[in-house]
Amino acid sequence: MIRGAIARRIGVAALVSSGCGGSADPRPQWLVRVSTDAVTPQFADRLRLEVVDDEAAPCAACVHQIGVDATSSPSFGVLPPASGKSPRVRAILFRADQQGPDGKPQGEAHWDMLGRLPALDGVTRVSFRLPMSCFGVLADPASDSSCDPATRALIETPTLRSESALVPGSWSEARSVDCASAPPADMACIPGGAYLMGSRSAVSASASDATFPEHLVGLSPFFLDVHEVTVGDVRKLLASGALDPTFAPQVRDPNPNAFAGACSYLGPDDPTNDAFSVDCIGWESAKAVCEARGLRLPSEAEWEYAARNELEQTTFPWGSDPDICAHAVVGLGRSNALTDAKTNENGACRSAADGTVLPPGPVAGGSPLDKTRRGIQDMGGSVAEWVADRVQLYTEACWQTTELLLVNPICDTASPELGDQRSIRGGRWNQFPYFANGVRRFARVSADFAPGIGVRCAKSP
Amino acid sequence: MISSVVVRSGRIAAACTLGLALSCAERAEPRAQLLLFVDTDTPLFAQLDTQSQASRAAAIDMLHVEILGVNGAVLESRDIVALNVSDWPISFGVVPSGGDARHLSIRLRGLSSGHVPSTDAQTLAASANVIIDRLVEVDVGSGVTARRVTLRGDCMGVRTTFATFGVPATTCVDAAQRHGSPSEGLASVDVDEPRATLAGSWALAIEAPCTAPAPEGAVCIPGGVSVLGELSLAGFSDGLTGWDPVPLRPAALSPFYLDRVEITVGRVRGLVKAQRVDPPPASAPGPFGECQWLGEDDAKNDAMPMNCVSQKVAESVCSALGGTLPSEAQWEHAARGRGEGNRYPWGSMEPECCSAAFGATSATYGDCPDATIAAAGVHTNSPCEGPHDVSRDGVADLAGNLSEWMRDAFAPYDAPCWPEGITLDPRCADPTLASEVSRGGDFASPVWQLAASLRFTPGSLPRATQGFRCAYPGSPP
Repeated sequence: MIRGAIARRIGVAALVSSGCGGSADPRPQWLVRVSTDAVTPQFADRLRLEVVDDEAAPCAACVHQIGVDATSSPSFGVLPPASGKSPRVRAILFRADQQGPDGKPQGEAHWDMLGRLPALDGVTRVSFRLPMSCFGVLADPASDSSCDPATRALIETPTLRSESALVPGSWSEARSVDCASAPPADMACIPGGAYLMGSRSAVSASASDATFPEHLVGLSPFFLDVHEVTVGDVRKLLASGALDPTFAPQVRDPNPNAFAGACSYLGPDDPTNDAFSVDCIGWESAKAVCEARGLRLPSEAEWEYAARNELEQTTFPWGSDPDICAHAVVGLGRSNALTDAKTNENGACRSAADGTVLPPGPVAGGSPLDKTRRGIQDMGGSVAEWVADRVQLYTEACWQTTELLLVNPICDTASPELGDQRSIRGGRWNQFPYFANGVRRFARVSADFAPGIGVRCAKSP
Repeated sequence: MISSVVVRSGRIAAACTLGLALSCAERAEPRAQLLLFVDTDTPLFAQLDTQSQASRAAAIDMLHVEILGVNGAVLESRDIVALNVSDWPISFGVVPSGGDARHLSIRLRGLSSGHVPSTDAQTLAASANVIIDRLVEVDVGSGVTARRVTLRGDCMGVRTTFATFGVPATTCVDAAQRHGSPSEGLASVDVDEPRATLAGSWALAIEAPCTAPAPEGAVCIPGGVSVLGELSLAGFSDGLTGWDPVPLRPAALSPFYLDRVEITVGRVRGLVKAQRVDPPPASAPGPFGECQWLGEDDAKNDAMPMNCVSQKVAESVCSALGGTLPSEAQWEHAARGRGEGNRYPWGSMEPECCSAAFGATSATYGDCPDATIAAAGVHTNSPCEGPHDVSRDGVADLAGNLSEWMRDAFAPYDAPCWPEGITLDPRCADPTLASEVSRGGDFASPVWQLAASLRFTPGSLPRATQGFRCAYPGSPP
């Protein structure tokens, strides 16, 4: 947050007429004020302004980059070229983490707009607006076209005028909308709003792990379980008759090397593992458990929104500290995937750098450090969690829209590429720490159950 | 053409808006304050467009400033994004406050936002290896005391220590004073003099060509700065067959030569026949296919890369050729674009099955079931829509074909065998560690194992997926 605050001020610093800067340069020039209604720095923290000649290339001294944040609308002075013609300016608003080797953003989740400067008349002030409606609609300098904020279509580069600046963060869809009622016991309200789901790029272990491209999602407020559903919770639902016994989890196999040998559920009458998160349940069972509690499964978009702290869009539920083993219950499997295909368990977090070796297996109650700003626990690790959606790649139909953003998306169509599977989110005690990252996803067919795959429930207010 | 008013105002702006001084530099009140000019000798991202010989990995784009109280507590902190050459030196004023009205203690951290994703205390601590951390202590007189301090690239990753029980604080001043005094290295400045930045002058970060003649079959990898590791791949290891590529670790590399292709059966046969190495032990086929060595008189596999070799055998072959196995730092410098931080040797594009020899594993990740071990270098020029397995310097098969032995012992990046801070040609040389590192994917790897920052150990068994190439000095001894 502090980063942004200062970045903005550096931006203001570029405003020639700002209080501290002293007098403006008296030479005739354009003063271009760049503004956006986007939430910054979350959607963009870098602004690159280029002066583009008719060959569409910026001249060497005509590129300037600054950091932007929560309230910036920086100004740039542009001196007239020797030709006397009014040049075009190009504004690219993006995030530092989207930068490719050429210093420019990769992908489409940013702004890239052109504006033609009007005839020069002394010190000429113009406004260059980069509205949310033009997010992802990228200019084409060669054909002299740029986004029309009214239609999101490319039109001939408009001439910049003197008009009011947009106010950063004023985009209405990003406003945090609180739950209308108090959360039920052991649930927290996740206020509605918008965020960028997915990541710019990611190596993925298989196709269903692919987390790009990013896309804008809008969500209504919802309640989410603070904790994963436990063995004790499920036993109570079974005992009361709220949950049909056909939806009971797989009982642990007494042979620890069998596939179900690490399941937490020991049967309806055994309370030994009541404090452990339940696992070894398929998607139908997970759904039934939530419904038996009067709740529902969270959507995949809701899950990621909560795990990444909504608009903050953090890497992990706890923030950005890359020491995953220190925060989440992950990598505590008995062996590793490459040497023991039968149990397929990852043990990356068992041996600490100081030589101590942790015992394998899940941890009752998870990790107190694996907690979001709203207090949701164990989204990084413990058990992974079924969500409501059928999995589709982010490049497939479910995640496409011609509108600016997807609103409350739930995918219920099988993926042409991946087949009919359900999405699963979050890290788990017996897998790579890698899955603790809030954008990671994987999928299984709905009947599958496995150690380390459980459930957390949601509710609409 | 963007007016110089904008450019020069950066200096004023930082001074007047940082909030530390209560007035603009130009209108400084006469009361006691420090006017600090912070410069750097690292490259800036804006310089990389025009100075292609500067290492991207060495660039910084942000200054994190902390004003410390007498007990070391952070009284105030600010981030300053400074991307343009004209933004440096960054200047701001600091007015002493509290009990000790003359003494100021300021911690400056220069960083790249690509390497340090956030400036909260936890992330700064976790990222210390790639931060230039400089503690400044100044006693101010009456009026304005102006000082200039330069964040030196040579100080990247060298920890600042704070005073405790009579032991004075230390901070990295420059290469000669890595644990110097916080009051050293501060130059007096005239506030009215124009100031040029030293940005881009850090010698280690400027591409250094090879000066020795090229060994047969090797290409020059110019020296420069790389940052080893990749934050987005944290958590991809299991601690047994691989360590995570975090925390990041800076490395300065001397120029060196690297074999263009993996060492072939033919080259080993030549050495064996000349009695310069012992014949490799005959090996049984592993789970992923045949060993290529057919005996010293069989030329059938001469174009194939030599597999089924232990690290010791590989080292002896390199030694006979006048080289060594590459260090991890050398290999990653070569494979990720010499400081460009590329994910793959060819850049960032995701590979196709024809891009490299990989993906033959059928069990879990059969990305490319038809893949097999390939003749050395054939993937540099295959009829392929996607990228090819060749680096910016022309080195082939770094991503796929065979995994390659390194000289380094197998240890995490925060293990004590790694030197503190940036050093020239670092490696982990701990003889008590039992195994060595292997880098790069092989014909049996799933696609994610082609990422060039990942670190593996294949264990001691010679495998059909394991090969090597050699590195040679880039300058005469």
